[in-house]
Amino acid sequence: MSEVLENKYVKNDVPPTRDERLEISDAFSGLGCDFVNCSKDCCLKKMDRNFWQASSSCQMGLSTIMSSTIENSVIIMHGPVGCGHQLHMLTANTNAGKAARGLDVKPVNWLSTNLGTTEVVNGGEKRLKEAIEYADRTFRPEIIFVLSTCAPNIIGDDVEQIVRDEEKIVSAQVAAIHCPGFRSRMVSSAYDAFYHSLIKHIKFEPIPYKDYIPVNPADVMSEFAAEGYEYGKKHTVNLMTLESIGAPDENELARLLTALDLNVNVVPEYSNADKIRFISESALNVSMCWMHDDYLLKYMKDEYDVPYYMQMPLGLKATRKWLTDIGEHFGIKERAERLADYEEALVKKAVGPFLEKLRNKRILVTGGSVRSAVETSLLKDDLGMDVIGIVGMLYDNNAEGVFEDFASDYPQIPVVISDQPYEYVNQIKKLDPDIVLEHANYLQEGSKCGYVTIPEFDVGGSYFGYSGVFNVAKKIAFALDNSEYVKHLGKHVRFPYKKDWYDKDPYHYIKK
Amino acid sequence: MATATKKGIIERPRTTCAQGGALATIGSLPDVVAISHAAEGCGGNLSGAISFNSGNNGEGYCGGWQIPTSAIREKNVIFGGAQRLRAEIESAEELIDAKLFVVVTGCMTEIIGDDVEAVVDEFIDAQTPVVAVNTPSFEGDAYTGYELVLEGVFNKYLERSDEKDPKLVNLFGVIPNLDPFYRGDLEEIARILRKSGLKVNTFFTPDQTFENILSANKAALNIVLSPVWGVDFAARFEKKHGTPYWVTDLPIGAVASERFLKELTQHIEVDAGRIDEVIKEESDRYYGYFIRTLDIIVNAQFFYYAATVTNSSYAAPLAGYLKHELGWQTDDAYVTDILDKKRLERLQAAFDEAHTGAELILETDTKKIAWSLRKRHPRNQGERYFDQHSPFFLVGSSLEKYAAADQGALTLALSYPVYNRMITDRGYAGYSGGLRLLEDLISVPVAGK
Repeated sequence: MSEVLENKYVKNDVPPTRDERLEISDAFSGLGCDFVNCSKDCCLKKMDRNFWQASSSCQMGLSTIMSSTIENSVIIMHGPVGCGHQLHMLTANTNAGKAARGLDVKPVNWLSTNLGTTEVVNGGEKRLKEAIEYADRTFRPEIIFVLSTCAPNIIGDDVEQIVRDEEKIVSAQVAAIHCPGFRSRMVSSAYDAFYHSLIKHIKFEPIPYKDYIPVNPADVMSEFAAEGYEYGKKHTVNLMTLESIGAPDENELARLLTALDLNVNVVPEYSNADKIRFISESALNVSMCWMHDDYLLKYMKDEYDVPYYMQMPLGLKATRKWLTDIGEHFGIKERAERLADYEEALVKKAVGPFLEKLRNKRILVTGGSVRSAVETSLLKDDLGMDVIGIVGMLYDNNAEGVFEDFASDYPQIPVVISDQPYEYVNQIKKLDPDIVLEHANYLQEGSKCGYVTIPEFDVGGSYFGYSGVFNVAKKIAFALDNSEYVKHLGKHVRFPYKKDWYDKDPYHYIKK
Repeated sequence: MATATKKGIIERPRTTCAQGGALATIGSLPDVVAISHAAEGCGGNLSGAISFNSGNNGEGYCGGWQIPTSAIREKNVIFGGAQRLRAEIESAEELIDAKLFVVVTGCMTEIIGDDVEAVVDEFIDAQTPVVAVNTPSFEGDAYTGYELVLEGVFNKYLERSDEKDPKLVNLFGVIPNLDPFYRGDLEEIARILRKSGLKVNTFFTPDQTFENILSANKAALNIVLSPVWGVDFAARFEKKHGTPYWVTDLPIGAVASERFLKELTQHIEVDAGRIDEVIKEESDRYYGYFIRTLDIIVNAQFFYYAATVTNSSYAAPLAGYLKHELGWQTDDAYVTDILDKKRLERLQAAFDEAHTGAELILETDTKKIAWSLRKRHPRNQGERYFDQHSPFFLVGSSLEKYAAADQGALTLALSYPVYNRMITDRGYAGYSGGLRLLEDLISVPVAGK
């Protein structure tokens, strides 16, 4: 184990926000090389806007998504009654996700501590204790997530202490997710907040006699079985989940790794307390996104000495790299190369009929920063499209390497970091693309401009690996086949911006 | 007698904080744009979730992700957010095409005590007027958010007018999105009122413009279509603008609509002969359709024990329709609103008057509704002769799916949240609405064929 901890924050009660621990950006426009330079010189964080729209959700919003995927859990929204209202929608979606993974579909129970004036004045700690105990005895969950929102963080509720106290009283494991929206510009702080809660409060190790029988010196075969388990563990990969991928992507990646005779655990989302206990029992943690998992993976490296690997397997080039790098780790690089050769030949043949339709079509790529940068290769190199710009919603310098590659591979493609609809509508009208790839739940903006839009990702679709290349090609070709819906409706949409806005630079309100 | 809602934990609340209701309300007012003085997430999270839960209703003109926000951060929570709000309003004045901005607040800016009024006062000469509405999330829920916005727009922003139009009425009490069928309901009520010779401001339907808001002070009558929500506002409206108000239930179906039109004559000057003609015409059409459904209803015996789970506005009208028009036996009418004693009394009085035969039960928690149903209507535990509460129809929200499955009941989602349906101009009010509700209810048992 190394002397210097990679994740030095886990000893704290409350995790730092990404704004505190990384160089971040939510407002940038320029070329890839300028962007990378700015990221290295730490000048991104200074940039701000004089006009904001409420398009970013908040770290609490994303925390609800992550926690609602965990089976047999109850979510307690510690705040006024509005926080977590999206859970009605989310739990309908995560239930669909559970069904797609063959898990039980049950109503997701969640509570609001419904803080009123009395609690805001006198503190909400008593109400939170009641809620935890009520949730435990009423629903008998395995895990209770307490999401600590803005109000309790301003009035100073010691949520971490309450959770520690309650853990001794209730039968569930209780995890505090510290996610007040006002503390971070980055919704991605939720990844750290969620992982911090798992690290601090949820068991990461199998329990003897419950999960396994320890070696008994008197029993020869028990040692034999233990060796077998160790062998399996040495060939086990944890695939870290993303909110942006669904069962089809997980299945595709698990299929590829299984083809290399590796065991695959998909964690921690769409799992449960029993499965999470085995999170430490792997030989390699594989993350599909640089901006998603570093908080947990670094901790796993520090604590369990499990190495980690990050690469987004999106497009042929990146998927080959993903496969062969993992292969190399397990000493089977040559097999991985052969698998990639075989799969590539198959998918290239399959996408052939779409290529004519897609060739040189002008596409604007928007959505997740890492996805947009990596997907450029899929769209440009694999499908022959003309990528006219990429828009990432948020950036932190965990993804610096991705953008270095992007800037050197595609030096002329402009890079924007923005999630603001008004900038976006202005930009898209100026660029006039043939089709726009958009972040899930943001497709309406481009569509209302009259442009054909398809999701950059959606949890029902396939985007990663080889089946992803085929499906993205098919999706774009299908969308281009008939654009009448958006072309027609676009004529009837009235945007809330004054006419002269479209004469201005889309990034007019960004201040440096 | 039901008891008022206890303050405390709520399981799967069907309401949001006041800002959520305020944003939903502003989002459906023509050319009125909200500015959320809160953390960046609040505006989009609340407005987006509420629209989704209202039959997938979309973001609209400047709702959802588009809502301008001061995007309060940690430094503002410490040093105050007024400066950021000022900059946001300045930019919005430059960029956003609106006739009125309404600043609403979140819990963080209320706790730190930003003086929003003072900031807004600086924009007294601005091209687009700005009005501030304090919507502290810990003091009220979404329904009070609706009332607070009405207060801000109609009682604060709108000047008094001594000139009254004796034929003009304003409709209140039907709440955007929290009444998922708000547009269809308002359009139908407006349709029968217009047919009766009146002019109607609905404010929240797509045919309305900002002119309707400006003309509200000339109305001869405010009709509040909820026994609870909008009543206090209407009283203050009367105080400022001198317009009297009439609180009545939202009429669903021919029986209730006829009563509504007849009572209308007591509150505003209308031609009684014309009202009779409207009732005759509408009833003839209504029963022309309704009677042709009788064949299937009696042959298939589509008669049910029913329970309703709704907000206060829909409780009596829905239970009344089920009992008086469909001949169902409604025993339980759950109301999921957070109601204090005063509001509960108003609801109880209106409910008793509707003679639905059902018991009014206040319950905010989804699971407790399921448990209460199980307790009130136990299932057969193996007895040979058992008076089972079946066939059972649970008319509620999308959340009642599991409770219905528990009880072996059919179910239709029509009360907030409704996320498993798409809603455009459908409504259940009035004559047309009565037919729509008939279609939707009976389509549940026939859809499986």
